[in-house]
Amino acid sequence: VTGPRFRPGQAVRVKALFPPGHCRTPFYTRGKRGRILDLVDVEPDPEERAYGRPGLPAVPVWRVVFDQHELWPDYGGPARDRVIVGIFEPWLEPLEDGA
Amino acid sequence: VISNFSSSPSKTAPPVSSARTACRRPGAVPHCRSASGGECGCGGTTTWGGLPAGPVERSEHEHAPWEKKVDAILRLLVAKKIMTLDELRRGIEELGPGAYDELSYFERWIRSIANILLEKGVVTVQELATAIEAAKARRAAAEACPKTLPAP
Repeated sequence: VTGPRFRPGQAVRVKALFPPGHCRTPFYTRGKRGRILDLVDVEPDPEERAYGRPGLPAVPVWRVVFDQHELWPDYGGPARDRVIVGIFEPWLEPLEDGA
Repeated sequence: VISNFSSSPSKTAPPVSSARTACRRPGAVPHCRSASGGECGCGGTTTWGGLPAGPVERSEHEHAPWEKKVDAILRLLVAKKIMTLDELRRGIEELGPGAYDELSYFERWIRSIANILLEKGVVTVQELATAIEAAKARRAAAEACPKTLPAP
């Protein structure tokens, strides 16, 4: 098992995956760019535990900050508005800054 | 209530600022839709945020005794490691598109719990059916003569 892959401030993208079954990644974040805020915890994988399996090795959970404008193209609020979402690491991929 | 003993991602801080509110209200909301409007395939109830919905009802209400019992049942099942909250959530998603419109919060819980326990072989369909009939009979008897309460 490797440790957490990311560091606070790092730019990431949520994988644009739409699998059947149980997952905790809100659909509106999928495929969207955000920035790592911090590590919440390392926890058994809920996608495994939902089916009675142990979900080990445990998976890092990151708080990721998204601009509302990134999530909602028609967002009408101020540009500074953001939302923070807890996302399990397998759903995240690193993004070059400025990408 | 789930968040009381769930460790993630409910630890997540609330939105810094959000004009939209996650949709949790029962209503005419599609079971599961991707941002592009297509079927996303993923379980529905975790994926409703941002879909069209009415205002969030913030009023508190007293829980009925049976609702507290459902909460207690779940806590025991989790504490005894018979099932996990993730299984509860998956079970709620598997109740299908109409569940959020037709069932109340704790009705969804107890249906999910029942299905998971059947799946695991903790109870059998026959045991559950017999217990449900017995409960119905007890209620009918209590309604027939409501003054027949046990002496204090």
